Amino acid sequence: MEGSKKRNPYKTNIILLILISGLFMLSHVLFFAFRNTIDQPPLPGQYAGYLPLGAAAKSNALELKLLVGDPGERRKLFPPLRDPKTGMILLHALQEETNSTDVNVYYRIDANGTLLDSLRVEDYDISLNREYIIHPDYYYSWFLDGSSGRQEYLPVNKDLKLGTEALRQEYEALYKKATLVQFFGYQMLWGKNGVTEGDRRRFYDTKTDKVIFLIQNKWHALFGKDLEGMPGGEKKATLDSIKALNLDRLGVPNPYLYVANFHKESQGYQEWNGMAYLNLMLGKDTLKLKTEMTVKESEGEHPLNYHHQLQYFRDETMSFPIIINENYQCYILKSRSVKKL
Amino acid sequence: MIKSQRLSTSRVFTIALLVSLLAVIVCTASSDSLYALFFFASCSPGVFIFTIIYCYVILALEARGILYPNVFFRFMTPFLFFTLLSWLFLYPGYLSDFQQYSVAEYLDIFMDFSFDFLLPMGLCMGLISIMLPPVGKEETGLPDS
Repeated sequence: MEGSKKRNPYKTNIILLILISGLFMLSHVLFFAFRNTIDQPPLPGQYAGYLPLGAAAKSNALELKLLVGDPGERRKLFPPLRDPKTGMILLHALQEETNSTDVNVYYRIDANGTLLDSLRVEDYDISLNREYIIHPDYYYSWFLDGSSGRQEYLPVNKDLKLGTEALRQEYEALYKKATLVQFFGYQMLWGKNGVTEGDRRRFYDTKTDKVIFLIQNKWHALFGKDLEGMPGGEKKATLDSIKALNLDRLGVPNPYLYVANFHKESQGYQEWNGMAYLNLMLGKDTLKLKTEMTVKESEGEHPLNYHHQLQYFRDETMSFPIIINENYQCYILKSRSVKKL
Repeated sequence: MIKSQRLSTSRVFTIALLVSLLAVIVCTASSDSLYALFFFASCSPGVFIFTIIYCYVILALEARGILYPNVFFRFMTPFLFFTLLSWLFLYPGYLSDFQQYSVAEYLDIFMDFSFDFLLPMGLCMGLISIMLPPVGKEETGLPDS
């Protein structure tokens, strides 16, 4: 306490105030006069001509064409499927999921990359079985023939008059001929809200299952009890999925798509936001694009780790790649010279 | 020498209660979110306890002769100290890289920071400095050096 006796608190406090405000001013000198003057090295001139990733992007040889997707729309786009025989591509967009219905939109793209038409299906329990869009009550053969109408199943034993043994024989005969088979249990068929009281009494109370068979491009529906336990099981198929390019290492040059340069703009939490300059290539031609991206600096072999939601689909037999961006907009990359010839 | 100030329990609890109320009101008023009230209200016990500790620390520092017992110094010294601390910790959320701010832009950013943090902090500290027991003239005898 002897030291404090000599100390003049008024003076001490003034010195303390000056010291703290001095440090405070120093921080501003550091942030404003020093740190603020540090600039990113200027963008090399070769990147000035890169175009924003979008429908208007084109070079002399290549152009990006928007197939599907408005920027404002909320939707989910599933990876494209391809029919190996005709080369047609099926795109499935889940546009809306509400409590009352799912809005599915299907798109047909031919082998040259032109959008043929689309089909809107608003219902629950929609599935795909090869080219067919299947609902327990109806189906669409739209992907094959372009007819946008619902098609009914050809009913077998809808009056439920076949006995157990006859039903089994009927099932086995149909199963032998069928290329695709799909089962629906009675609970999911008749246990729902939309089913009429008559149907409910007739089918739900008798535990009537339904099995659909594809026989010579026509779907048949067999009704009967305990069909789910029948031998054989489902025969389901999907169209070929198109090979997706692994874009985890977007910074490594490859002959398809890579980031040629990244221009940092601002720092986020352990990452940088900025503009990525992409080289998108088809054959010997390059389309130069830019898009906003986030980068994480990490240790190791590949120092830059790009965060993005770009998807790139291309099979060897396809003449064009399909590119899907983070807003689920679907583009194809086309060669312009082919169109002129 | 300065006699150490006596701080009655009722006084320090009144200060802490008023400060935690003021903090909730000011923070909620300066925020846009509806949930801000719930958030800041849930923080107020912490503010309450911190205020009690803060009052005793201020008085202890005054007794040691580091702070001068006066409303201005009681307010200004800790306020500047906490301003410096919060600015050093929080500036990355306000200043972005490679932005080449002009003086006006830089001042704008600092004003944003001030409204977010310094205004509620300053109001609470001001209230404390006013409500702490005043120093009687006969007790503030300056040392003879």
